[in-house]
Amino acid sequence: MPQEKNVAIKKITEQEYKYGFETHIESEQAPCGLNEDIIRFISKKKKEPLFLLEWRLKAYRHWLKMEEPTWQHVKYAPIDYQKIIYYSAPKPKKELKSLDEVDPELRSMFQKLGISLDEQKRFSGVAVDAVLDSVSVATTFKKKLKELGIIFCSFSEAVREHPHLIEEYLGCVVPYTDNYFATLNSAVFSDGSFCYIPKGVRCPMELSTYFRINAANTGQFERTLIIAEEGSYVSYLEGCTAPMRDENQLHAAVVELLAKDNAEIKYATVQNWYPGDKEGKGGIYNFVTKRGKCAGKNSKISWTQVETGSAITWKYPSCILKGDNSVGEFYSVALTNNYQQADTGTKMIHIGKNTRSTIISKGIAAGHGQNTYRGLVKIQKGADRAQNYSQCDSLLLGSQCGAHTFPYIESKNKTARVEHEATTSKIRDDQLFYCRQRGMSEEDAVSLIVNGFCKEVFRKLPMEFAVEAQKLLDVSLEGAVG
Amino acid sequence: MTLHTVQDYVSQYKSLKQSLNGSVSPWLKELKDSAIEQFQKQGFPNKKVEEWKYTDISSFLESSFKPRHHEDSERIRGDLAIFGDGKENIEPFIFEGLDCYRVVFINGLFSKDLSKIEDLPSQVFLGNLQEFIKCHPHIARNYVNKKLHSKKNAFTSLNTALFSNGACLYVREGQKIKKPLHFIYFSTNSNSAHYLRNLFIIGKASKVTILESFGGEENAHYFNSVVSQIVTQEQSQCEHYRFQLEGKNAFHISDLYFEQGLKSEVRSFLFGIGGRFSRQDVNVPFTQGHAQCFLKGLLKPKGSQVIDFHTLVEHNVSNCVSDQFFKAVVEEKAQGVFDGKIIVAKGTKGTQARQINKNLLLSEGAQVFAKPNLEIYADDVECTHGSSTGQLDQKALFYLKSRGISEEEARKMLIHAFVSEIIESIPQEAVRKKIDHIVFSS
Amino acid sequence: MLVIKNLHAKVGGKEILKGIHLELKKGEVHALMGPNGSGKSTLANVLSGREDYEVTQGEVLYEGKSLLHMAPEERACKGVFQSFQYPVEIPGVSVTNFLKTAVNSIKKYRGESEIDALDFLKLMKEKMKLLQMDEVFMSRSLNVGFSGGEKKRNEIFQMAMLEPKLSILDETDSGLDIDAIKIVSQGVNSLRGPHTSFLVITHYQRLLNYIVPDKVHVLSDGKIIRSGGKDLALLLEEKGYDGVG
Repeated sequence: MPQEKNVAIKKITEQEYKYGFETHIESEQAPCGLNEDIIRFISKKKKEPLFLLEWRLKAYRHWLKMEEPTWQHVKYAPIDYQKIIYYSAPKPKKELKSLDEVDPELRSMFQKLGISLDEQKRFSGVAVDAVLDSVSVATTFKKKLKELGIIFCSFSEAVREHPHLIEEYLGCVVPYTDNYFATLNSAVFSDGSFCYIPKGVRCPMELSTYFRINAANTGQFERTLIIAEEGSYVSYLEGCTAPMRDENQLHAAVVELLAKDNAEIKYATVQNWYPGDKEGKGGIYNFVTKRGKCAGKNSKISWTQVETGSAITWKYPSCILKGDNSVGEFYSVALTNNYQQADTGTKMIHIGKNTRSTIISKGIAAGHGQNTYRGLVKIQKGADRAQNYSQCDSLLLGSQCGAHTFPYIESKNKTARVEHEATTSKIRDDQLFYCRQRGMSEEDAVSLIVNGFCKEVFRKLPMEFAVEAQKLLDVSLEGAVG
Repeated sequence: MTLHTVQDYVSQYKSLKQSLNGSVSPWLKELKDSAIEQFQKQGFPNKKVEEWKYTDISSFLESSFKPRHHEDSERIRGDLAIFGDGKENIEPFIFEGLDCYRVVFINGLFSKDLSKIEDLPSQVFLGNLQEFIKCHPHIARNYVNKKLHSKKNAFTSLNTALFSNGACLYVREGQKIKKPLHFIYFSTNSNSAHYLRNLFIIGKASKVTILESFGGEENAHYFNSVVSQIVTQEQSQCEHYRFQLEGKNAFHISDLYFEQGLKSEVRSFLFGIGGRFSRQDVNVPFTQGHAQCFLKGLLKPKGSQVIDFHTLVEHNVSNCVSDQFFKAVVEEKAQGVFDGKIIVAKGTKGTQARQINKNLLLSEGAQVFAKPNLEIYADDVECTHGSSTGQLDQKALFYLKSRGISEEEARKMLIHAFVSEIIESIPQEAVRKKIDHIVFSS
Repeated sequence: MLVIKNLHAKVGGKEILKGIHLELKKGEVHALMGPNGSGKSTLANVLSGREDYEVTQGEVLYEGKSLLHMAPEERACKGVFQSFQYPVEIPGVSVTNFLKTAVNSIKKYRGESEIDALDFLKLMKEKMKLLQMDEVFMSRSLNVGFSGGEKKRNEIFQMAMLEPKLSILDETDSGLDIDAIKIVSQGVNSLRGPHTSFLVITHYQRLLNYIVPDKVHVLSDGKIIRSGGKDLALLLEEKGYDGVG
């Protein structure tokens, strides 16, 4: 492989993680370790009703009986669950009556990240719920949304203001017994976002939650729940960053989406957790359970994700297509560089009749990164005329990385159609030369080609975020080939 | 004693060992000892083992088999007595118009009478493994002593421990053998387990055509465990066919290795049609450059059969080409499984790997599990794979019916068209005709 | 503009160029003809900076500076353009996006600001019209699914968009019918001027009826064996390469 190509791609993937700064905010923390007392402490701090405490304890007791899963393609140092702090909240200076009262330090921190907590600025008309260390610190546009009957607030607030909704829907898509990390999350989750769209309402603006991990040695366990009643629509974006640290931090979140008849939920994630340094030290362990249930007829859930960060990513946003004619979509770009490892994909479970699912996964592996797509398309016996189309492409930048594809196809219905295609390739020297002969530098050429590779997925992101995602990809690619 | 649990098999090995004391070379003894040890450690695979996730062997575990592998002349005579001279059982497997050399095994025992090994060129050995080990101990040891079971599962370990014989072919350098070599493995109703270890060595720049047919009496209950090594040395070519046409009540579990030398070429056609339960593993571990391997397969389970193909192609060196094309037609309440793994090792260049899998589900209750997977650690690769599963094209069906063709006839035509893609690519006409007939009458 | 002195180059370990001498002045169009294997494409690739080619001797001066020391993109930014014999496909990258990035890269190098989106679109449409290309090509992935002729036309379209000073056309006429040759030649001729130069590599004299050269060179076995005016091309057609050397 020509020298110059290596150097150029190396430069591209070597840029610094610009969100790596730390902010000093006074916070309140529980002692290290996990036991029933910590859970009671968390529940009490949040002033939760009894049903929720009981739910947490049930989950915790179940977790004690479970075994951590092992995955062939993801290797990490064992996590010591007793060395993690399970509750760390920025100390509230006082009860917030308006956004102007948000701690100026917090506000400036989010500003540095490009997130505006200022309603007047009308940042692209996006409502933001800012979550710092698993605690929601501010939610914009709440009033305006309330007028339409839309509830968009932090999970904790939802527990306090709308406990009946939480009681009805929590765990309806991801039961607390689901998997090791989801169970842990169910026991110790601290906050997240809650969103409820009433019948027939089309949410007029993008809803967004921005997660920022700040405190050291804490585990992040967010819980997000979105309920779309009949005929409603919501488009939701989740963004995340974390400071650069030497130790690994655990992020085990749970996201549940429920779409009833004729409802549609769009969920997009631009994930940029700290990926660890060039030697593979530090970085976030991102083990997330995301699941959408198309419970109603003609309902639709689509997952779009751009994953460039975290040392280890283990997530399979899934769709349970129960309602007849329901549609599930998964669009993903996952980039692994340096020593990152990603084992990500989706599960599409076809249960109802005439259901459809589309999977477009683009994996880019660079440096010593290992990028794995793991997908399941399951057609149950009664899923007449189900249709699935999957396209999994991998792009290898360099000879030290790996790209793997493990699609599982299970079809028990003869009228169903499942099509799966996968290709693995690299950026060819002649393609690179062609661009250079037209005046582009190697970095620009690689960026152009990689963006072209991801185009189909970027197209699915809300406009502002598509641009951000492209930039993020460029930044993450620095120094990609060596 | 009937064979049922891991312990049963281990005890059986121990008793066999005693009876064969002295007649087995030390290296072979050691190999077998290590294999049974491995088997005991592994135990039979269950659904939690990734490679056996979709292959439910509970029906196998519920059956019991009598061990049947002693080269006991009493028993051979006994078998043949029941069996008659066997010719009418072999008949169905013979390819009309195609004169072949023939090696026949009945219930895992070599039958000289039914075989046809005359007029072989001098540079060719054709017969059974036991004989080969006696005549060419060094060569035999070189290949058979590879601890294949260390990388695999309990069935390969079991076979290594318990085999006593198998088919053997050794073609020296520069031999282009026009006459195909046909290996027939037939089983009768003996509630027995047969362990065959086959070794086919094709020397430098040689060319052969190998046909393998596995069959049994219609309702015979038996277990065929087959581990085969097909070695194609530098610049040699091998055209290979395997017809798994076992009886309805039979269990067939096989592990096939294509060990390819520099610039060698293998074209293999694999058919999985018979048996109550069959699992065929095909391994292509490239260790020499510029080798090419083309695999084509057809699975056609019906009733409540389970037919499973697992392929593993490892591009451990540069510039090799692998191409896989597998089709499955699943009827009634049967189950078809295709798992194709391609691994491209770090530091290799110029790999071309392709894999296409197409599955047809013909009835309610038919099931397909497909898992085409890629593990790529090098960037200079061209790898694609595709898998599609569905039913007969309804529009095409309607079109045929609108021209007066009955539903049944129309379905047959479309299934034939689907399957033809594999069958039409068979170069030998006699073979093509035969397999076409078998596929459509099965 | 371009001075080639005693250029020796090898590729794949084999020496292909065995001492090329050529001088191309500003405003001139030179044709380079020769049988297969004579080194025509090798010369083109060496001039644009293809990495698999190794220069073993000689030098190349472009506008008085050594060309061989410049990276391919630097050569391009300084005004060197190669129309490739086999244009490569880049899926997912539209023709528009590709050219915009190229145009802006060159502007950046020159310290100019990026081109305004509307101006760019206008320019694209204008040049597409010049080359009689359907606007649908704007959004198609670069060269993906293009016929041989469409690929060549796309190359000349790019040339029209980038307005280079030195254009090296590597067998631009291969795969084109007579009408396409006329259109492509039109594109090339529209860029001819006192400050631009062309090196037209071709097998056949026919193209030179439309792109009339100032000088013709015959390349054989890595060396220019004969040079002359445009009539040399006609002589070549009549007598073949052997009859002329």
